[in-house]
Amino acid sequence: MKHAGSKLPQPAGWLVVFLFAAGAALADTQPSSAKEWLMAMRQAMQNTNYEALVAYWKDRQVDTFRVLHGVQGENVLERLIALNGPRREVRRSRDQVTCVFPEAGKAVVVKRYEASSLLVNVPGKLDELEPHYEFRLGALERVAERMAQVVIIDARDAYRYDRRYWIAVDSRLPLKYELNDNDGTVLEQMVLLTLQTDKEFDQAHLAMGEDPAGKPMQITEHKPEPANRGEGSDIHFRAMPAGFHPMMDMYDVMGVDKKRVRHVLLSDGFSSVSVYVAEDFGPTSPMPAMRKGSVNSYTRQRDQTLITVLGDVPMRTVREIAYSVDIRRVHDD
Amino acid sequence: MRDDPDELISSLLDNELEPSTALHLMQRAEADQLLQGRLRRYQLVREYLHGRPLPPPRTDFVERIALALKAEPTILAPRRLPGQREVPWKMLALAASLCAVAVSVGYLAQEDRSRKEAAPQLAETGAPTTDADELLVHYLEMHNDLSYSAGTQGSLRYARLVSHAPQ
Repeated sequence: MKHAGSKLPQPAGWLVVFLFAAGAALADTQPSSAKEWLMAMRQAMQNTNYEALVAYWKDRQVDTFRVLHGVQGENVLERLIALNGPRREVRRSRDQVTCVFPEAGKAVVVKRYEASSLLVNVPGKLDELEPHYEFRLGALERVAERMAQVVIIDARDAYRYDRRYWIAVDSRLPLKYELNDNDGTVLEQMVLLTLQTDKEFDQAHLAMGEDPAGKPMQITEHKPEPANRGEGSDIHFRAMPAGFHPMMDMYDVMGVDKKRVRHVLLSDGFSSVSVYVAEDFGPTSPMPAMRKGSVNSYTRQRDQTLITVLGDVPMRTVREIAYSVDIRRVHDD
Repeated sequence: MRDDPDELISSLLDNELEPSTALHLMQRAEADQLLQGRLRRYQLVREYLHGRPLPPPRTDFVERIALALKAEPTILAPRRLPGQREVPWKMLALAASLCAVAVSVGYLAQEDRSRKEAAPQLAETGAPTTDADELLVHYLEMHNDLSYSAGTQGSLRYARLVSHAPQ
């Protein structure tokens, strides 16, 4: 007696099974939604060794950079070398960033609070951004001789800008990025001209603390001081545009007279906005609203306190944040 | 070669003029008040057409006319003699049209001003001119530094700005 279940597949049947299995395996590895593509890109930017030539356009100016990104054990080293204009370079290790200006013989060391470094910003918790941004997949397009999946992120209100990412289908690295205003005008664009992945970098490639020209460098450290609650003034925000929340609260010194300025950094995940509160500021008549490319700023003066809000967000966002700032002096009782 | 001042001004504003001709035109405008006024008017029209905010018009237009009239010597017009030619209607029509244009331009400028007052003052930043402007440049650098350090901004924006502002 022959059992139906014991029948072995014919060669054609094996082929179908093989194709089905291969398709399923591919589907397993291929991101299926816009947010999955973005997370895959975020991971690739951190974990892949790559060298790229990048053209970056903003404020009617194009800059080109060579970017080297290498992972060595737990440490990630990165170099961004400017290819046009005066020689300069940004080097990043796990927790510090060094900006080198060889012609001036100077280097500035900045502490880094977030260990990851990304060519383009992609927040980690995308689900939390759903109320403010709509994520969807676009077409497959060809960029830098590679196939790219377009991911569209549209702002749900007029308080933030729209974004487009072209993510390489093979490496998941960003091949192109655009920041658009609400009318669709491109405000900022990044395009990879060449990309080499899985490069083996030797130590010399990613060496830190060396001046590329071999000259001695004057190294200064830029160290903002965290603001403590209950000291100086407390800064509160009333009725801010939805989704923005404080990320950091610091004091920074600036100018020849080393004036202390309070600096609160706000973010909605994608867009960041800085709020500056300068006290004991003499009478002035600053232009309240200013624009520089995609950056808008709004300044208002209350008695001797100058409140300035700026960021890569529309004018209405900086204006509303400026009017939501509430400063309460902390008295020493 | 283009000699018509209107054509030259138009080309200058379109960035289509040879540098030497542009320089010559600007030198002429420095000495020639009429040309200067014409240049300014062209610029205003162009700005208006491009939707850029216009500077507020002078509000003392009527007063200035009144003052100018007051400064004029009073001339008693002689009585028209029989057979003397009347003012041609064509001239009156032209004068009326010019008045209408002046009123329209005034209205547009006034309307633009009221729109501008409703909206915040907006300026493109260039080279810092005041302490407040200079402060803004520092703020932009600090914003860039902290946004990158906090991981809310990509490395390219940071690399661009630090590269333009060596400490």
